[in-house]
Amino acid sequence: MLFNSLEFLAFFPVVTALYFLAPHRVRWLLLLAASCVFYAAFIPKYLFILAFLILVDYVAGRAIEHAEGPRRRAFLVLSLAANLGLLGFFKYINFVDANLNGLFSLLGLAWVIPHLDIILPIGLSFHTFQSMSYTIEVYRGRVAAERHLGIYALYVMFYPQLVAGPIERPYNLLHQFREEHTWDWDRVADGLKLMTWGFFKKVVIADRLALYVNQIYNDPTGHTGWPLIVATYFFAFQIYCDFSGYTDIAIGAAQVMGFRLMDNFNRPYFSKSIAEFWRRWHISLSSWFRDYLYIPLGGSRVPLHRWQVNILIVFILSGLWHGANWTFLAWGALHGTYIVIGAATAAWRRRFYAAELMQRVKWSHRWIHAFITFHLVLIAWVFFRANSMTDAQFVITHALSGLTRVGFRAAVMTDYFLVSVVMIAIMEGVHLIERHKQMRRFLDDKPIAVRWAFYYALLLLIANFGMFHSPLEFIYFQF
Amino acid sequence: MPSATNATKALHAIGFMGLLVIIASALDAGIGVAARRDLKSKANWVFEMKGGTYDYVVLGSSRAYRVVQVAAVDSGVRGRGLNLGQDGASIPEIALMFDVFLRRNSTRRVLLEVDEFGLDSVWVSHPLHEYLYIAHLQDTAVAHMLHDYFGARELLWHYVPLIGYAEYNDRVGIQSVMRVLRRQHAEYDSTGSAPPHYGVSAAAFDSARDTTYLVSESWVKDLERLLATARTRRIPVTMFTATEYAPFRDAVRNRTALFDRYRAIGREYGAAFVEVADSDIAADRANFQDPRHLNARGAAIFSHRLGEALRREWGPFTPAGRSP
Repeated sequence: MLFNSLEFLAFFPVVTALYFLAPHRVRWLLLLAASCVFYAAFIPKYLFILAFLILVDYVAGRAIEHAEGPRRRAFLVLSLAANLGLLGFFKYINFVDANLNGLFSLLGLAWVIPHLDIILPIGLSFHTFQSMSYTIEVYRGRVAAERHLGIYALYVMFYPQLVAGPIERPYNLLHQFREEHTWDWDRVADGLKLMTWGFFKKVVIADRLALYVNQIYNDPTGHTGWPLIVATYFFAFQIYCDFSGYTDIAIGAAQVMGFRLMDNFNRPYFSKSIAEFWRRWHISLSSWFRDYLYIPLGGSRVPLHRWQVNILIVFILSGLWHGANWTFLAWGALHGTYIVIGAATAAWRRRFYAAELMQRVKWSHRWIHAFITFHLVLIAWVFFRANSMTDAQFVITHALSGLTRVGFRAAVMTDYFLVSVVMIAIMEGVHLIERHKQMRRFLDDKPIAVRWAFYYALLLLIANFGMFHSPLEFIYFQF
Repeated sequence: MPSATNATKALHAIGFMGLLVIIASALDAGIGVAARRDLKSKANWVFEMKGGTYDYVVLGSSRAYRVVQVAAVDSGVRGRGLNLGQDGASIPEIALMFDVFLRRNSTRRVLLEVDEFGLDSVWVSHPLHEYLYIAHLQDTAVAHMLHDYFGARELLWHYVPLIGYAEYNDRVGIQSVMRVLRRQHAEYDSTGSAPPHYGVSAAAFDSARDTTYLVSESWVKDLERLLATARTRRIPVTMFTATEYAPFRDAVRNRTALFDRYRAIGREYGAAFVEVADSDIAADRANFQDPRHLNARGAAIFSHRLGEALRREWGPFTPAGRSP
């Protein structure tokens, strides 16, 4: 079920009302049933895959807790193999097929591996990673294995974050299903405000920008210059608004019912370095890779060359997590390279900014850093969005050619462009306020007329400028 | 019992929602006024018409709207006509437009353009352009028609302020307000005819494939409803079909059966079918904007011949019956 659908507008209040009306002892069952309905609205048969994952990791968790010595590790390895095996089969088998077939034909071998006609279950990468974090944490002894199968199933299937995260940790979420949540006006209102902000980002900005981005990126060779540049900038905001909008709706919906999900975004485009960007973008995934891959590989306490290799491994895998395509691998590798080069040039950059000339404009450093970081991220987005490496290469090599005045006017002097830019400006205005204080907290200090006017304006912007006709799926659903 | 603080919060929530409903209702009403005045929409033009009397009106889709040049037909039949055709209109929408027109206007004859795919609800999948009628939901015929095809959504559009304009805000709503403020001109002329629109690539002309169209019985009923309305008002109906590019026309395997069906339905309701000698027009690609729509040149030739054919079919209009 899409958050931006009429079905969800009916589903959410009904489930929330039933949740608060139901006795505490059956609330887990209600939420689990609601989560099944939510997921089944996409492809019902994939519920069986989820059920399989849940059973495997539930049993593995109990077994790890009870086992000792090498058997603990064996159960963990079995659980990880089941999760990664499932993910590998659904997500990567055809990618591997295609590349092996290509390799064989290059070598003149006629071994053709058939393409499997399978559809990736929605959100599989999210719930396998969430499941793995459970068994890993049980193995590490940080959380106790969950005894209640239903509660564990809910940990994996909790509908607000089931298909696109945030990728939760058991020590943050699991215990919350046992807590009794009461109706709290402030908390409910706060959750609804966050959901409204998420809807604004998704339906007003992301889905609007998608029209232009899709048109250009689905036929990049038909364009040069301004359209490629505008589409790439738009994609940067589209993907941020799409994913952070989803996250806001998810966190808000959970908050209405009394659950606290982890933050996933913290104004990433204001980051002053790529490393900072990754502390502020898709936080639940980057912290997953940090906790369960980067640190086990040695973190920063290894020789420089080993650290550089580790960083590249982490970012390439992070890229592949997003999709089975060379473009995602390139995107991850590019970010890894940025980090490695960033570390290698840190001393030089410190000297540059310490020079007298640069010290005179010290106030601008933060903006220069943010500007450079944003544009490095922007270049990487080209690979993320392009349908193929050939397309990405075309966009990179042709974005600065054919920059005519006519092309500029055609790309920019339209109502569509104006509305899009105004909506992005509204969002960035809110982000500037949020440098100091969350917008909701900022408004709390204001008179009721100002608070209400802001939310009325937001709701009316959603109603009048949101894209509701044939609602688009969230980009991250495909991962 | 809730505490006093909770009671205040509950009142605030109710107050917020109440004021939101008032603001949305006011905005809905304002947008509604603009949406009805937006004459870029042909439907609004029909709704606005009052007291017109015509010798004939043309009904149909873009193949009537953009192909039948009323001025050319007028000179053939020596009468005064009006083109009520609309882009993408299927039978239910054509029937609705005819209903709306007849409420405040009159015509002596109806000229109905029918296509081989016109009764195929798979091919022409949308019963009507619902967003064009959200501003007209107070109209009972509109509300009934939308309810028939869209069920509960019609109730939402009708009773929840702003929701209909929100759902289609890429086409109506604020878009309508902007069109009215900018005084954007309609494509159609004073007779309701419009020039042919965008063309297609040359390759599209070579893509004819064997096709069999279906007949959707629910759309047959809508056609019968239209014909019954005309019969009740004693308005004779004449059906015709606009010229298609010959390879595409020939590729329709059940074309004869489909037009036999139109003729049979027509006979039941006293409607005639007029043939226009158009094989030379159909054979020449230079007459077409796309395989199903004549261009300005083709439309001019076709409209002239249609006028001639109708004069033979109808005879001359008597001055007494002519519109003022």
